[in-house]
Amino acid sequence: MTNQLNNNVFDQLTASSDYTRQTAALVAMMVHGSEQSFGLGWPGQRQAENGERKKNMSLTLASIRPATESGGSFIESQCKGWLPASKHRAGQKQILSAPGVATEIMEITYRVVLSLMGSEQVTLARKALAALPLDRLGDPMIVRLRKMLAVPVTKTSQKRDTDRTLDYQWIRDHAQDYRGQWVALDKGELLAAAASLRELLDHVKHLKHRPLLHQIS
Amino acid sequence: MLKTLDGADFTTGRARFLDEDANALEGTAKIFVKIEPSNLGFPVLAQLDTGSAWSILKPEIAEEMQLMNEEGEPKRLSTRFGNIDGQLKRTNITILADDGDSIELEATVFIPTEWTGGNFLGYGGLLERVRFAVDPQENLFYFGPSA
Repeated sequence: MTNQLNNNVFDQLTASSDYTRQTAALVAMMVHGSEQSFGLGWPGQRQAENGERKKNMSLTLASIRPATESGGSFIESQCKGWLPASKHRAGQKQILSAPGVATEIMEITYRVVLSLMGSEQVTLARKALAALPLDRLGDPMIVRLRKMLAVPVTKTSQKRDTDRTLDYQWIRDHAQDYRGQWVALDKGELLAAAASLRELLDHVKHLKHRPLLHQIS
Repeated sequence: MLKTLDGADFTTGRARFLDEDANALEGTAKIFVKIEPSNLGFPVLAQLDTGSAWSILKPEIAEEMQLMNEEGEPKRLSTRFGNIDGQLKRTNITILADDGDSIELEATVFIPTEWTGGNFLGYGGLLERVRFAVDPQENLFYFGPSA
């Protein structure tokens, strides 16, 4: 479940998302370490020989370096700190386990997710979050993002409204006379009109049945 | 209610929708369905907009829902009114049925800081888990929870 930031994620990024692509690659690399050459298949599947894996790693690093050039100072500083060490597996593991790195991974992931959300790539943003190790999901900013990006939860309800055909007709016929106002309608009749929703609610909250509320903009 | 080809329920409820808005800036017909935001206690109209990344609720409604003081995720949304600043918030909304069952959603919606437009039901965070179909002849909106 933690390895969902895979080839498909990168394949779905548009050409205009190069920065996001590179940064996401960086996050995945930092999260999963050198054991996985994301974007080129997971070495965990043991499909590549050592030589092939080294080649994949080189390609991966090549894709990350542009991020250090185009990215913000924070990401740049991260790359300067760990790219040289990543040439040696032991060195990279040492950096990944260093104090403060987990926090930085959180911050990078946070930025990547925000970037994806900024371009309305909600599914990719969810996948980036899902790629985080379980023990890092408790971070407050990650918790907030996971909550906002959670898929909607639905359930049926016995609550019902009535047919509003007559109220819709009232809107068609009279909207021009009530521009900017909030109106309360029931059975095709105007029950109240007010300049604000608060004021309108004061008028209708004591009614037995529930009128349709609508602002004529 | 509508059935799938194998006889299972596709939707659970239906409601008549408003198919034009006399005050719309554009002259094109749109589909407005009835929703009841939690804590409001009354139905309001929201435009169905599958092309919108997020649903939008008017700030006045969000205030009545007591959403304004809740922590959200700051966001700038690109709309046909330009870039709008606001916050994404998690809340409950009911899509109201005239017949059959309504559906309650725990959904993510965008609350603009300032907004002169109406309410919108967008795909991300809300419609992505709702099955729906439209009968344009009868102005009926069929809907139900997605499995």
